[in-house]
Amino acid sequence: MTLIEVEHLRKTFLLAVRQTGRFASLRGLLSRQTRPVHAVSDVSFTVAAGELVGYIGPNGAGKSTTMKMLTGILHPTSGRIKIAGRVPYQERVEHVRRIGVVFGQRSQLWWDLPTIESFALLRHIYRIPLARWQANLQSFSTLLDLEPFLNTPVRQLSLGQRMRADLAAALLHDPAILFLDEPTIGLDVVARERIREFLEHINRENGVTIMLTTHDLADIERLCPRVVLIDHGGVVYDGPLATLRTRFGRWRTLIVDLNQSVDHVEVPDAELLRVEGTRVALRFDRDRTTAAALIAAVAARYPIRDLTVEEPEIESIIRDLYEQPGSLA
Amino acid sequence: MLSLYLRLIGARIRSQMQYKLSFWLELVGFALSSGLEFVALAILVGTFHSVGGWSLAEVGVLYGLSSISFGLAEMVSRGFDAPFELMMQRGSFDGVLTRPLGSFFQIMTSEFQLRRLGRSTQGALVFLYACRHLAIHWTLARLILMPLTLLSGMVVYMALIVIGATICFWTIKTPEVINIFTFGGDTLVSYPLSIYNGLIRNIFLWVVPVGFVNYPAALLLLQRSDPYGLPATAAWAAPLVATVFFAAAGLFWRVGVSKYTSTGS
Ligand SMILES: Nc1ncnc2c1ncn2[C@@H]1O[C@H](COP(=O)(O)OP(=O)(O)OP(=O)(O)O)[C@@H](O)[C@H]1O
Ligand SMILES: [Mg+2]
Repeated sequence: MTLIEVEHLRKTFLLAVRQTGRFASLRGLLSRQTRPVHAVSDVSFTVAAGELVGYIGPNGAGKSTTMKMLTGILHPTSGRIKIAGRVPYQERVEHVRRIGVVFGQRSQLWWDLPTIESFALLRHIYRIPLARWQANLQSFSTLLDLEPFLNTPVRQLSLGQRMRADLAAALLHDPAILFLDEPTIGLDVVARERIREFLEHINRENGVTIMLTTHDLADIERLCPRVVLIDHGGVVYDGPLATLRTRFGRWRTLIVDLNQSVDHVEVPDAELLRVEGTRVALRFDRDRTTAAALIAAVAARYPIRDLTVEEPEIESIIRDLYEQPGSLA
Repeated sequence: MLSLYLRLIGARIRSQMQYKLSFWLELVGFALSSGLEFVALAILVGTFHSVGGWSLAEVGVLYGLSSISFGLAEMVSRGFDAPFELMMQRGSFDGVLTRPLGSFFQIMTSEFQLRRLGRSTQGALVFLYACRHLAIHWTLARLILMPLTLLSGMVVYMALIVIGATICFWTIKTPEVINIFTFGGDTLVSYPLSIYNGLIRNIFLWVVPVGFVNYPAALLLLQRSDPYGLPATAAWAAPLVATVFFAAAGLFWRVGVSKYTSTGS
């Protein structure tokens, strides 16, 4: 069942151009000169119920802007969004009743109130039946270890505690979909892992559809069977993470153990990464040569004792993609 | 909805009460500072013995009605002031839009300043004192008119505060110009409207209806007539005028929300 449908979504911000020169501020008031910023230029995808989708891309790609349109915060400039049969920005109140939202950068809780009181207010705002609310709170307390700070005002929570509280808050009303914008930002390794486990749990056990953005590729590798990769406001890849690897992971590393140690190795179509005694690492482009050809070329010059070919880390693939925007087209 | 309102306001008050001393100091502070406004007014009127034919006590009726309403409006709608401006700058209005409640309701419940009653209390004292001096003939109708007038006045001031806040959707900062209508309006209608020229009178009656906060009601209570022919019975129209103005402010707010652009990141 399709839960989220997005078609040719576009959002253009009009930035006021600052006037300079004489009477700049006065002229700024009179003429509103603007410059368009195409934050999202053409994004289409669908998400089925129960999926866990990673929405990734370099800084400024348009991830947050897309999330804000999906959650009903921003009106799109053009294009179509339908989530569970509703248009978010047209039926905002009904829409947000059925979703949960966490922005890693800022809390949605009441700053001055103890965490538990924020949860209590949410019960009334979302009109959650008491028994349901208690059961959820109980379950999230265990999974996220909220107990120690339920009575602490939100402003006194550590970043990790606050993020856990925000996650629980976003799920108390049993939303069908959870939107997360950088839920692991600024957290340490243990805290990240705890949040990943939790997300995995609510996706598997509670059937919550999740869409998340992150810059931590470990989040993606660990959680997301599917990624949507965007750049400059458009989708450049949508599919399984594994395919992203074969499609964009052109670089392979050939590691050979030679019979004797060498200072330098020179073979065509390969770049020398490092030499450690008898062990030599060579990087090659899968599109320009094959592992077999390269091995033959090395063996012709130096006697080989052992060898391995390394697949690229997903992290380095994405890094390459981000660093060379042209390679995405 | 009312119970949710009380709950959210209750939460606000509880967090303010963490700082009890500052609460009381500010309450007294507001009473004193608005008291000073009246002293200034009294000195002015006292110097000339009357303004536009109105005695000091009669001006006190005008002043009292407006101050009570303005204080009440500030108490319930300060959420549209600094906290809202901060929300716009930080982009935290995002959070408001992800909750299943009207954004107007949420901003209104994001703040509640009980201490603003300082102004209302002081206004009420001036009003009662003025009434004792004036031997007003209290009929049942006139007694009923009072809460209606105060409520209408409060609604008019609330609408003004909302309009000021709405401008934030375009400018991010509340333009100071709105203070001309709130604080300025309060000061302006502390004098009888009849002393102003036609343009200002008309603006403050029919465009930004701050005049309705107190002027027609005072005409009726004091059995005076307006030199420009505004009937004293217009006092009964104040609730209608206030409702229309508030509805217009609400509509403007909706347009503003649809223009909300959030912030980067
Ligand atoms: N409220 C706004 N007003 C004007 N421009 C904006 C606004 N929000 C985002 N932008 C611009 O739109 C583009 C996309 O921004 P967005 O925040 O969606 O990127 P992102 O993919 O979330 O980036 P990051 O990984 O850094 O969070 C950027 O160029 C940004 O400057
Ligand atoms: Mg972002």
